[in-house]
Amino acid sequence: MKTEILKVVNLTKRFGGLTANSQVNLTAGEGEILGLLGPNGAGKTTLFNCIAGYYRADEGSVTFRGEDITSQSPEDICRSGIARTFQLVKVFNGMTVLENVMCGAFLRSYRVRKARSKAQEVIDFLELSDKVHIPAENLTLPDKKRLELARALALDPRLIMLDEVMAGLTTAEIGKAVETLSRICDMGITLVVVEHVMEAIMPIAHKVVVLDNGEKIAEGTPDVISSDPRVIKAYLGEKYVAARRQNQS
Amino acid sequence: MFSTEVILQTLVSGLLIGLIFSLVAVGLNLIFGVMDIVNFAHGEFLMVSMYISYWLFALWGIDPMFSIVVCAALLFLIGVVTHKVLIRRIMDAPMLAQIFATFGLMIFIQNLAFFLWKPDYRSISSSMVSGRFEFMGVYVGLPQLVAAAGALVTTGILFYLINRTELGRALRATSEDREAAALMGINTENMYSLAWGLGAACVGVAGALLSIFYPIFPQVGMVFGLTAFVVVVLGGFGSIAGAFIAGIIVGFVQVGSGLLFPPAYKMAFVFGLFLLVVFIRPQGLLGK
Amino acid sequence: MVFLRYKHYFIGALVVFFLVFPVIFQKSFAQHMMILIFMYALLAMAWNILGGYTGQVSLGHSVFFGIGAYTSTVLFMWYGISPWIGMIAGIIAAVAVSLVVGYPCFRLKGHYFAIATICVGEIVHLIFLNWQAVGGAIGLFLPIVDDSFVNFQFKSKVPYYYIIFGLLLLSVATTVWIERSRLGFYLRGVKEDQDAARSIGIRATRYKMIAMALSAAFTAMAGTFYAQYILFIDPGSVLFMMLSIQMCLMAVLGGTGTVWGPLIGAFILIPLSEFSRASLGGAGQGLDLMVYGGLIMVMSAYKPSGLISLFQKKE
Repeated sequence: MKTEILKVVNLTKRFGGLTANSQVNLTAGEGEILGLLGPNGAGKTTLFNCIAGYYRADEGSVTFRGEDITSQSPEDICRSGIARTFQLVKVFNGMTVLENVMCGAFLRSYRVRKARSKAQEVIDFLELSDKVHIPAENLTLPDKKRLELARALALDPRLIMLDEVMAGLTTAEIGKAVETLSRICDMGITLVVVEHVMEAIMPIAHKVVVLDNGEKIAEGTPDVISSDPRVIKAYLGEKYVAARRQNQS
Repeated sequence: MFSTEVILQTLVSGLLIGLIFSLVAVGLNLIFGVMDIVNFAHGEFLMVSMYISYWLFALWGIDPMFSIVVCAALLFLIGVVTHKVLIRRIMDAPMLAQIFATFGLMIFIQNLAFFLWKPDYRSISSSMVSGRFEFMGVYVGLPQLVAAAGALVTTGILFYLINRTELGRALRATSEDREAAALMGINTENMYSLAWGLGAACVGVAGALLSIFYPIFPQVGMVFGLTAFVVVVLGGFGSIAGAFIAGIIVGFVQVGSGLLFPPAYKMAFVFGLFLLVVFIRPQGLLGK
Repeated sequence: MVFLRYKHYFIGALVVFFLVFPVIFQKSFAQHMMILIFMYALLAMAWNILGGYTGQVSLGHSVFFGIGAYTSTVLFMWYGISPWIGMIAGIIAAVAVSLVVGYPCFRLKGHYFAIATICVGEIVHLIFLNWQAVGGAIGLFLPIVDDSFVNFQFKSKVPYYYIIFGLLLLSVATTVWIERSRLGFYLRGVKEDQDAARSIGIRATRYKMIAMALSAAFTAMAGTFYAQYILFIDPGSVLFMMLSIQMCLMAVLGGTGTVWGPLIGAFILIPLSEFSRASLGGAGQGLDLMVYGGLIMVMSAYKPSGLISLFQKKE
C-alpha cells in the first residue's frame, strides 16, 4: 500500500444556493496517478480549486503530507509541495520559455544561476530544449501546455494537479502527453489529473474517482470504474445502462 | 444643529448637481458596459462640449439652450471618430495599453484646450435661463434647475433607448457576449461606435447644460471626470440605474460636506467616498 | 543593429560625456537643463519600477515627491537637520505611506487601482494645500545658508549636477539589478498573470509592496533634491497631478519595464517642454504635453512597448 500523501475529507463547497461539492472524500497515494472524472458540472474543477487554495471549502478538510492545508493561500500550498496547471493554459506570454521555467525554479533558490540551470534541466527533460529562447506567446498550444508543466516541475513538487491538460490536443499529441505524464510519475511525483479525455487517463491512472452532481459516486481502478453502472449512468444516462443490461442478459 | 432650511437647501443643491453627475457618469458607464474600456478622456469630452457651447454663444450669440443639440451631435461625432481611429486598435491590447490610449487622449485634449484657449476662466454671461426663485425657504437657481431637469430627461431617454428599443437590445447583447452577438448578425463594430457616440453625446448634453452657469476652463473636465469615476464605481460598472442613483448620492456628499468642513476639502470627500466604495463594496450598488 | 553589440562601449562613452558635461558646457542654462532632465529621468525610473515592471499603474506618485520634499525641508527649517538626513527621513516617510496606501489598493484591478491612486494624490494635495503649519498654499521658502555639502546648498550648479547624476545612476543600477534578479522575474510574473504567479509560489502582494517601496523611495529622493535645488516648495510644485502624469508618460513613451525606456522618455519630454516654453512663452503652454499625449495615443495603438521597441530585436 502506498503511503497517503493527499487526503480530502468531507469537503463541501457551496456557491449561494448551489452545492458544487458535497461531502467529497478521496485520498491519493504517494507516486500514484489519481484520475478525477465526471460529467460536465460534476464539480471537478471546484474540488480542484478548493484543494489548490483558490476557493475556501465551506466544510471538510484537505491534508497534504500530514499538514492541514484547507485554508492556505495558493502560494503557500505551492510552497508545501503542490503544483497545478490551469484549464486555460496560463504561461507568462511576455517571457521566453527559459524565463518562464526559471520563475518556477526560483521557488527553491533565489540565485539566478541555480535557477537557470535547474530550468534548463527541466526543459531538457520535457524536450523543449530547441525552443528555449522563444517567447511563450509564440508557442503552439501543446508546447504551451508542456511549458506550463515544465514550470510546475521546476518547483520540485511532490504532487502536481493537472486541470484538463489534454483538452485541445490531437490524438498524436495526447499520446505524447500521456507518455510524459508517465515519466513524471516514474520520478516519484504524485499526479492528480482532472480529465475528460478517457483514453488519456484510463491507461495510466492507478486509481480513479468519479464525481457527479458534486458527490463522489465511484472509486476504484480504471477497469472497475469503466463497468460501474453508476458511472455509466452519470455519463450516458439510465437508458444506456438498461440497454447494456438487456444486451448482457 | 442645522436648521431645516439649511438641510433642505443642501439636499436640493446636491440633487441638482448630482443629476448632472449622473448624466456624465451614464455616458461613461455605457462605454464601459458595452466594451470594458474605461474612457479616461470622458471629462475632456465634457470640457470640449462646454467650450463649444461657449464659443457658439460668444461668437454668434446662440443661447446654450439651443446649443444642446449642436453639442450633442458634435460630441456624438467625436465619440464615433475616437472609436474608429483609436479605440478599435486597442480593443484586444493589454490593459496597460488600453489605459494609456484614453489617458493619452485625455492629456492631448486637455492641453489642446490650454494651448488654444489659455487657462482663463470664461463664462456665459447671459442666457434666457437665468435668475432664481424661492421655494419653502430654499433658493433654487433657474439654470441649475433647468440643467438638472435636462440631465434627468436625457438619462431617461438613454434608459429608454437601452432597455426598450431594438437598438438598445443589440447594444446590450454586444456587451454581454461579443461573439454571440456577432453570430446573431449584429455588427459589433457599429455597436461599439454607437456606444462611444452615445456616451459622448450624453456628456455633450451635460456640457451644454453646465455651461449655462458653470465656469469654463481647460481643467473643468478633470473635476467632473474624476467625479464621474466615483459615481460609476459607486453605482456599479455597467448599470445605468446605478449610475443615476450614485450620481445623486455623490451630489449630496459633495454639497453636504461643505456644511461641516471647509469647502476646500469638498473633493476630498468625494475621493474618500471612492476609496471607501472600492474597498468595501467593489461591485458598487447595482453593479454586475 | 550595431548599436546593440557595442552597447557597453556606448554606455561607457555616455557616462564619460555626462561626467565632463559641466566642464564643457559652462553656461548655467545648459547645466540647469541637464539637471532637470536627470531629475525627471530619476522620477521616470522610479515610476517604472512599480508601473513598468510590476504593471501597477500609479497616477498619484507625486505624493512621494511631495513627502520627500516637505520632510527634508521641514526638518531643516525647524530643527536644522542636514537635508541629507532629511532625505533619508523623507524616504522612510514616503515608503511608510506607500505601504499603508498600497496594501489595500493592491487588491484592486488595473483601472480601479489607477483611479484610486489619482484619488489618493488629490486628497494629499488638498491636505497640504490647507495645512498652514507647513506653509499651506503659500509654500515654504528654504533659508539660504552657507555653501556646503552638509547643508546641501551650493551657489554653483555643478555640485547639484553631480549629485542628481549620481542619484540617477543609483536608480539605473538598482533597476538593472532588479531586472536580473529573482525580484525582477517575480514582478514580471505578477504583471503578466497574477493567478499563475501565485500558483508557482510567488507572494504577489509582498512583491508588489517591495516594488512600491523602492519606487516611493527613489521618488522621495528626487523630492528632497528638488527642494534643495529650487529652494522653494509648495503643493503646486511638488504635489500636483500633472507631475504624477508626467512621470508615467515618460516611462510609457520610452518603454515600460525596461532600463532605457524611462531615460529615453525623459530625454525627449524635458527638452521638448522647456523648448516649447522658451520659444512660445505663455502661448506655448500645453504644447509639450499635447505632443506627449498624442505620442502616447499613437504608441498605445501601434507600439505599446514604447519607443525602445524600435531598438530591440524581435526573435
